[in-house]
Amino acid sequence: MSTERTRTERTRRRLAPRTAAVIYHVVMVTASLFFVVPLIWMVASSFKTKREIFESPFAPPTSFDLTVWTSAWERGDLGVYALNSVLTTVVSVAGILVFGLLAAYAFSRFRFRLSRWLLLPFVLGLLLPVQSYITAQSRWLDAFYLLDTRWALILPYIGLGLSLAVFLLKGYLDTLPRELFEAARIDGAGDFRMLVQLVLPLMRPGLATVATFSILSCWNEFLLAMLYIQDEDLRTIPIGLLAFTGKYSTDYPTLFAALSIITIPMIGIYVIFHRQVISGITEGSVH
Amino acid sequence: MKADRRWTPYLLVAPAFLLFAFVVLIPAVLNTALSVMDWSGTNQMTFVGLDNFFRAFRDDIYLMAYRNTFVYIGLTLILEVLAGLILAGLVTMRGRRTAFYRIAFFVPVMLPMVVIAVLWAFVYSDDIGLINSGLRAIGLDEWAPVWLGDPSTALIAVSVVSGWIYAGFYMAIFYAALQRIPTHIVEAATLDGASQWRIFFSIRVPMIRPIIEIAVLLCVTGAFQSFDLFYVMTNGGPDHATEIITTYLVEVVFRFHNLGYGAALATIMTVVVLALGFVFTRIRARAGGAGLEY
Amino acid sequence: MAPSTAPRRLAAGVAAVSGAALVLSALTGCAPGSDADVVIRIAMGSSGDAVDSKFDDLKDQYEDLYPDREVEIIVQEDDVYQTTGLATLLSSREAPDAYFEWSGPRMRNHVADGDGADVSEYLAGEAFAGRFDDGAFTGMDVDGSGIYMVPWTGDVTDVVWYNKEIFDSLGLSVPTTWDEFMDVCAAIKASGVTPIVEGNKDQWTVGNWAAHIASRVLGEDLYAQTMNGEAAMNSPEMLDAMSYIAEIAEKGYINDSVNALPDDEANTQFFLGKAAMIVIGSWLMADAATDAEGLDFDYFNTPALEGAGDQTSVLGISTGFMVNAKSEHIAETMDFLALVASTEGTKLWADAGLAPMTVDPFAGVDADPRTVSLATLMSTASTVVAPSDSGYDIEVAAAFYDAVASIIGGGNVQDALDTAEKRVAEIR
Repeated sequence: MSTERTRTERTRRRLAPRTAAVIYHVVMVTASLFFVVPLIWMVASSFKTKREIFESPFAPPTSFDLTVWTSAWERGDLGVYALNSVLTTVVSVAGILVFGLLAAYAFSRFRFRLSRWLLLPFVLGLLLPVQSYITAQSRWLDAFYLLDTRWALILPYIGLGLSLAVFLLKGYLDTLPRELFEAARIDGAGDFRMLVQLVLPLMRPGLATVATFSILSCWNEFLLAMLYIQDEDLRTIPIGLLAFTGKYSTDYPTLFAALSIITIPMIGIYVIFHRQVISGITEGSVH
Repeated sequence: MKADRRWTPYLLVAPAFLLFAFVVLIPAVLNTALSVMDWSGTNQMTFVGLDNFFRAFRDDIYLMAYRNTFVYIGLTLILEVLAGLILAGLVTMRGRRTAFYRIAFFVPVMLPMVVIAVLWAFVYSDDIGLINSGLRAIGLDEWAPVWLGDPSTALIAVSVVSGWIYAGFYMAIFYAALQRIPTHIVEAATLDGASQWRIFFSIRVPMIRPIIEIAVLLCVTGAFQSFDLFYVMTNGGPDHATEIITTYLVEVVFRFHNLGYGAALATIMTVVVLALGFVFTRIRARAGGAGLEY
Repeated sequence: MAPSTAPRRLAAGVAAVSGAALVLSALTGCAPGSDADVVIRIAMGSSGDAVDSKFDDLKDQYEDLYPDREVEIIVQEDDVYQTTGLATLLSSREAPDAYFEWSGPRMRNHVADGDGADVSEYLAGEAFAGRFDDGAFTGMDVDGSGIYMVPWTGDVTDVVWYNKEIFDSLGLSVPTTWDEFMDVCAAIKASGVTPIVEGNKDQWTVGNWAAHIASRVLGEDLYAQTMNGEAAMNSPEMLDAMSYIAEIAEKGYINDSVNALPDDEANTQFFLGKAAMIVIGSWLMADAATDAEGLDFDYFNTPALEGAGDQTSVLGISTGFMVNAKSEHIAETMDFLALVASTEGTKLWADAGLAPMTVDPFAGVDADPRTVSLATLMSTASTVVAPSDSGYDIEVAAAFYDAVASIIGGGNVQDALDTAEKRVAEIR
């Protein structure tokens, strides 16, 4: 009786769904277009002349001359900015992962007197906007001759990233069974060996999450980069682009080309690693 | 033997804590101290008591910045969290072959905010912009305001961009959470003949409630930290219609060089954000959810 | 491994790891290629690629002349430079040796902060001999003593640029009074073209023009007092002055996008013939060099209004390079600025459409007649009024600009000025 019912249900649903599927995909494609069209428009506009952009914003480009891209790359020093962003991001993320893991390991596996007090600031750091202390921070870093060096970004980026890293990694470590560590200790493993041989492999998803979050936030950070770095040779991509928009603000094709040059590799990397990126980010929140 | 291990946790925590103290804690404390001073950064610092705080409460622009920030939070809860939830619902509705959509929705999260802000300033442009050109092309000239130049539309326009960026982010979070719901629960409902939307809203959504709460917290605290998008797209204008706390703060400190006053504005913001955070955790704790426990 | 050695091992591990991070970032920390003995840093806001690239030419010249020295040109986005950029640069330890600035109060503030060196001795030296008339140093002293700037260009901050083709096709001539100006606008609007385009996103474009109008109506003294925060923002005279701006808004003579459009996009629209007029400074000529696409255009000064001020006054300010008093290479920096002020340097600026402050601004250059005539307008003006943002208190200017933006956006004049006055009262 019940199998009978499900069968009719199923056939009924399989007939109507043709149209349902069409409607579904129409809705979804439209929604996707909303996210993708501005980007396509940006790339297309880089191949048009200024007048074409003004007179017919929707028309596709008439030619695909890549010289505007190469000239945007050269005139805009985009290579320098990209290199700076890579260096700053790599060092910052390495710092976040290493220091974050060590601290999280201590908070999770040791009972010590100041434990709660030392952890509390990191938790507050999760809520505290950087703007709430930036006035003093700029003066403070300056007092140590750090402004206008790579450290002016790397140190704050590590500090800002540590809150989340400590919090998340401690969460992961807390879920690892105690027995694991006890067994390892009986085998005579010291803390350092335990950390490297036991914890590190188990923590891979957690570290990947922290790394994804940190990479994205360091790569895209704007405010500190604007205020702390004035040297053109040290500028990262966001501020380099801001300077670029000032210099070529009316040279729309060049401007769109520069924006495309920065954007397309990131989308490429993302499309290749989207599974890792999305799971990295969502793990952090779902966990 | 045991005595030695006593110091291990401190050694482990030391690098992280010292660095964190150096770039966050000490500046935060110094900032509070600075908030009772009058200082341009170069002149003699003078103690002014709570004057800066009194001035803040008389400062119409600062108060307007709070209003705008809260409107922005309200809008982003809809345009980011709710939209993300609906997108997640759409994506999970069919199960297979949705990877393309998920990738597309998430793309903006990857891009530097400056790129997005510059790009959308063009999209909103009255002359060459996608939106107004499109509206004019279909004869809706009346419906084509100067999005970023009109105080009544500017904040909404910026919020839409914010939604464009983060709806995909929240979609991804909700999608991951939805995938963890045991399939038999949903299957049972399907067998009972419930519609997809009903299953989504009455079964799936309640099951991921903790995640939704976290998303709301992320969205609210994130809104207080927004800066890039506003700075590049409107820089607070027109007529302070998109002035949020952070843009005003940067203007006061780095343009007018009122470091003391800026520090006071920042201190007030800190109190507000922390208060919101604690109220939120309390509410969740009472409702039985897990807050920021440690 | 004995348990007792564990903590030590761990500590060593921590040290090793953090040591590695330090080494890694130390490697990345050093700025690329500074093998020269002396590096001088020159900071400025971007004046567009046409001008910026000329500084690179000078840098090459300088480094050829002095092989053991190196020049670093720091160019920032214009608005960033004027608001946060320069201030941050100066407070950083690697402060620039010389930096662009306007003459007048902004320059004096730097001197007061200890960031400006008296360069009068150098200017009297051989390198600068005969390069400047004394008049070029107006506004570059502090209380009548010293010279704190090497003059660079003289900017007329606002004139009304107009599209000659549109004017000719409508049979319009250059207006000399405000009423004529309104008639011209009406005729252009009736023909379906936007009369005036302004890019007031950063508020100084219409703001400057409103300041000019205010100085004409209030008289130069009351204007100066108002912009210094000593007189009321919502005075009857001010109300009167701002009603001119309100008239333009009411009659729809300006682009709807005025408060959203960045200034250089407004220039582009003017160059593309999307609007008949634009009110902006003499630097439009620098953009025109690359962007005007053969457009036939000219300028006229803001027409005469009714008020206590000089109705032929010019809004303008001279610019120059200040030398950082804390610089360790003042002499070397002056060598570079000598190139900026040299005959060849002058040629570079004139070619790029600027009006150099040197004695022979356009010698040997096929300078655009409009550039030359603007320079003459500035040097022969009976009254030169300084803009509120560069000439007076920046916070007062910000409050005033807010009011102007609100008025040009269609807001109530009285309300806007009352709000501004409330803010200024707070600063006073």
